Amino acid sequence: MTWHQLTREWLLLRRQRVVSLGVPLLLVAGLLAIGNGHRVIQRQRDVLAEVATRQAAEHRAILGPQPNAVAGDQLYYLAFHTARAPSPWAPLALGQRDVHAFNLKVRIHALQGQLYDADLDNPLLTSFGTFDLAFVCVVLAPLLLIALAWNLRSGDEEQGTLPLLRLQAPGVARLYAVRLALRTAVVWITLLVVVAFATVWLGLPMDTTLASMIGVLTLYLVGWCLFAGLVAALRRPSEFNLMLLLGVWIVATALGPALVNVLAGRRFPLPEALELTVAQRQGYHGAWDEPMAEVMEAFYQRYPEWRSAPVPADRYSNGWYYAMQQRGDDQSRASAQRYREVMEGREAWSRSRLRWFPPAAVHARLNALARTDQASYLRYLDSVAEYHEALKRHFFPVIFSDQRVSDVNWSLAPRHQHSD
Amino acid sequence: MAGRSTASGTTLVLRVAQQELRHAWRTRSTLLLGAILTALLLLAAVTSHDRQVREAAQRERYQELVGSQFASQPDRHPHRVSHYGYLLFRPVAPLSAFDSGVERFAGTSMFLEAHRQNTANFSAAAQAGTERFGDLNPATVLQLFVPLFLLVTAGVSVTREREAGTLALHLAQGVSWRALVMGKILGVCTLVTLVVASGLIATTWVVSRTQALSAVGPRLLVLLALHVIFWIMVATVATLASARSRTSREALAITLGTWIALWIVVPRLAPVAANAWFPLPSRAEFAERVDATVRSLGDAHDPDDPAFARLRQETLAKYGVATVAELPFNYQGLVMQEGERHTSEAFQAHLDSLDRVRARQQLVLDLFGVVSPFLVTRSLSMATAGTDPAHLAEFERQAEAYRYDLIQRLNRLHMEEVAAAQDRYGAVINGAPSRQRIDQHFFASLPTFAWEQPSLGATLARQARAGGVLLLVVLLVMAALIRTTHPQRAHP
Repeated sequence: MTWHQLTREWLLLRRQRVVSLGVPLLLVAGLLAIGNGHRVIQRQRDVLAEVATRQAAEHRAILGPQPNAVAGDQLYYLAFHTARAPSPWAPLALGQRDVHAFNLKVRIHALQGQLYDADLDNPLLTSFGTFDLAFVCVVLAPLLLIALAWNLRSGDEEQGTLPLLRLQAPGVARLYAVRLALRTAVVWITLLVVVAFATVWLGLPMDTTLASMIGVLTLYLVGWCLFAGLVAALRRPSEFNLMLLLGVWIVATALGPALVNVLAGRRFPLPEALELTVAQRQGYHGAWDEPMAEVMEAFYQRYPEWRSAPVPADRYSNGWYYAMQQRGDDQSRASAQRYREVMEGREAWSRSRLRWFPPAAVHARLNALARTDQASYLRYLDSVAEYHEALKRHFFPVIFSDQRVSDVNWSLAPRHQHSD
Repeated sequence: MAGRSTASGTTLVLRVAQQELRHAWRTRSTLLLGAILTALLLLAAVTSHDRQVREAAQRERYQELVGSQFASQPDRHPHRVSHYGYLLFRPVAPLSAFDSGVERFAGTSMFLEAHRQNTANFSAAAQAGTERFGDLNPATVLQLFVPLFLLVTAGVSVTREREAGTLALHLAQGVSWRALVMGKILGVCTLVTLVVASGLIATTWVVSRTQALSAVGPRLLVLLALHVIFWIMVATVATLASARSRTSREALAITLGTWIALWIVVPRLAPVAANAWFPLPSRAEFAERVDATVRSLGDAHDPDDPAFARLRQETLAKYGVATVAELPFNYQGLVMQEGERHTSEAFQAHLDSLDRVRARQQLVLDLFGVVSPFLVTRSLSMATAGTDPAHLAEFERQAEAYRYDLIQRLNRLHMEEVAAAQDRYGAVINGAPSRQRIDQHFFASLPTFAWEQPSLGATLARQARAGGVLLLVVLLVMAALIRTTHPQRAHP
């Protein structure tokens, strides 16, 4: 095929209404998706930018008016903010960031009661799913390709132009291959333009992550291109081709993943979520009814360095209080661990099944690359747990002593650092 | 004369509809699509029902566990019990198996305690990793895929005859243009009814295995009527597109484009617009506002708080005594009661402001319903199934009412049953320092939470706007039908 022929094919293609209408629509959808992704992530970034000042103001309000109060008493109220900074690529694939917490705050009370607060949202809106570049590429782009390729060969046959083409070009199959490749290229270039725009506008680093995203999308489109070619090679009527292509799109994009979701929920039920809430609450509150010696002994098993610190046996003290809080986490540790394992097991099982449904698999891959998926969320929760532990260890000296608020250098408290 | 003409018009419409059905029967692809839809509907009904039963059983089990733990707790100080609090698990809606609505995107458990109002935690969506394309439940099939079937079938109904040349023949034989189009619509609607009938009956059967049909019957009827109206509308639009198109290919391009635009793209864009125009505060911003208000109201844990000094003076004056020790009840309990009233009001005011934002977001979505009737149909469907945001809000409202009542009863026990002199950590009970503990029977006799399902009437009344939008769209489609089928617009 010569350059001249290719140019002629492009000129033929360009005149089609599907191209003159579909390509701009996909382009606009892509740009809107980038805009929306940017808006959602920017809003989260704005909230995260305020974290330090917000925490400082809260602490001032709690500590400021009572410099002579017992520091350990005031710690009861102090919340320390954490921040799950989005990756630079998060605006391209929002993943689960809209339903997962991104700035939990923790007090040094029992951790398990504090980890699972989601951010405020409207379930009505989240139930529709996100509108981001990943959605446009995974869901909409194949539709444009289907619209361009469903009557690739059958159209000529039905219009009676196929014999004419045979006369003109001896290798008709090759001609259709070129036409299909050209159509795929049109969709591919449209997506590339959108990605390029995003890269410049959002100032994305041009590195392996971006290259991987483009690579995944390219493979994905090639997959659809091959499938469309296979359908054309069946030599069935246009209507049949259209139904087959659309049917596969529906199954691979919507039905298959939904079924995997249902089966995953059935195979990996999560009563642990409820169990862990119950266990944590029983553990902490039950500690009030147990002999103090037992509660303290359990605490010392974990933190032996405080065994010699004085804890009065006949009255309330902060050492005893936080030992009881620790009891809540100790009692729910097993169910928290199971909860975590089931979540990971479900995720792994779903992912291996989703391989059969390329759109869902590609979508999951894009979310993983943008680090907006479940695994990233769990890593964040781990970082919060570590931070909580660091805070406890930092403040135990304050708790086990009679320091006043003004005796403590509060600015030395550990700070949370986590980036997706 | 006029009467006879109408009668014959009706006969003609029926005859065209009959022909359309006969054609569908002969076309293998239509039968295949129908079979796929039925299978899909059955699969959705069975899996969805299975999930509803399991989730309901699980939540009931934990609710009972929490209830028995609460009733069998040891002797405790009432304020200890206020912090021990209560855990509520949101009950699964009666028709959740038909339409799970937004249930999976809302928290399932809610911790009720003194001094604060928590939001529900552990939504199913936050625990699942895959893309949200609507759950696999019967409502999704009926609202997303049945319309696609209608759009394809009705989309070629007129152009097929136009391409074959039989359309001109019909018109020449005296079939009026209007009768022809109406007949096509009737035929396609009858076809889809036949196609989904078995699936619908099976769905009803599956649902009625856990619900008394008399209890959910009216809801099922409303759902049936809603979907039938929706389908007739979709069939009409597709038939009109077909009537105005020259070729089947052109008609299919229009109807499939419509499906992609109005069922896939607009439902993703409408929430974006709602979020952008009426954003909710982040949890951090929200907590900051609530904290500021609560702080300005005073701290009930701090006996010297200025806001509570006035309460003391007023109470002393009312009982004509000089010190709180002389009061006939434990003053500390009264302080707790007053403090709870303050914080509850503060929380409620701020939570109400969130509800106002969510209401505006719902308004945006309903307005988008003029373009994409799927949106309002979905709203009405999940409201009828009891799985819409309003039901979630109602659960949170009832949970809060229960929480407030429970905490205030405990505060009253604090006032009446705990002696002021023993209201500090003076004694050692069971090896632990303790305030006075009161007998556990007081806690066992506290009321338990009973969820009251909002009535169907109240639910539908709240959805009046969505219903109005649907009606408006129906009227617009009817106007288009009358316009397009005007005899002068007939084109063979």
